[in-house]
Amino acid sequence: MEKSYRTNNIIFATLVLLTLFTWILGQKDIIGDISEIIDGKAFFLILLSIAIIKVHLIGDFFMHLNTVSGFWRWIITLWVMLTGSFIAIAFLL
Amino acid sequence: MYIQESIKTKYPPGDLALWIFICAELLVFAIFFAAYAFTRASNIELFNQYQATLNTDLALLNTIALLTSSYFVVSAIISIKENKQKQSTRFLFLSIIGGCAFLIMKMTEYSHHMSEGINLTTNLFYMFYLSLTFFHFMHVILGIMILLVLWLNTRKGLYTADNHDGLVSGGAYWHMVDLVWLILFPLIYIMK
Repeated sequence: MEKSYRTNNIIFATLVLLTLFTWILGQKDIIGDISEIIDGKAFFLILLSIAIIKVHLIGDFFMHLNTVSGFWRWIITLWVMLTGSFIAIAFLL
Repeated sequence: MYIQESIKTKYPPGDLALWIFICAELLVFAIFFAAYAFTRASNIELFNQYQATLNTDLALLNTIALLTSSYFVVSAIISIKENKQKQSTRFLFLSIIGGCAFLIMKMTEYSHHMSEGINLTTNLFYMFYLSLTFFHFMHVILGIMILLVLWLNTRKGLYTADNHDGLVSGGAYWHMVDLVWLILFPLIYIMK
């Protein structure tokens, strides 16, 4: 069970760090205008990738889908990939 | 215990009916997110202009509040697996505090918008922003009510190491509320 607590702590810390990184990317007064540093599409893809990773981590570790096999193992990941694809098409095309 | 945990099951932990309900909820949110993204594609300047008026600091705190609350729900489940009811009760109470913190911050944001005369008819961006976040807000309220029931049941000792499906199912719903916000936060507040 100690292992479970440790895993929980690591996942939580990762989620918070990724959230802080997302927020920093949106702060003009901290990093300047992001469009002067990276391409707008790359900026969008970084933000979307972080969101997808975070949702996958919640599904796998908080909802314990990593203990499941088959279709249900991927249900949250499938959802976020589908949603992310719609968003990506709208933002990039 | 580790051997037991390493065995993969066919169905997700908790009540399968609730998981089907979670899938239906996620599908509705996916349609909302797609609608926002495609509407934005035809009104990029308007969306970027009004997105800049949103408070990203409060949105960050909202995200941290939900993540922390979810963390405590997972901790409560781990505790109940060790038959530590009191510890589990404390963790669930902390998760409710996290959810309430989210509601208070969101209401602060809404009251600020209302004081500026912003409503659903102000423009297309605010129509999406207010309806999407309020739809999620209602789910947070329902999630907190579920957490309250779980907290009361745990206090009464209804969950044990061998019987805690209700706790796991309720926890899964709360995590769903959390992961929807993890998409909503960058999509509405940050992505340009």
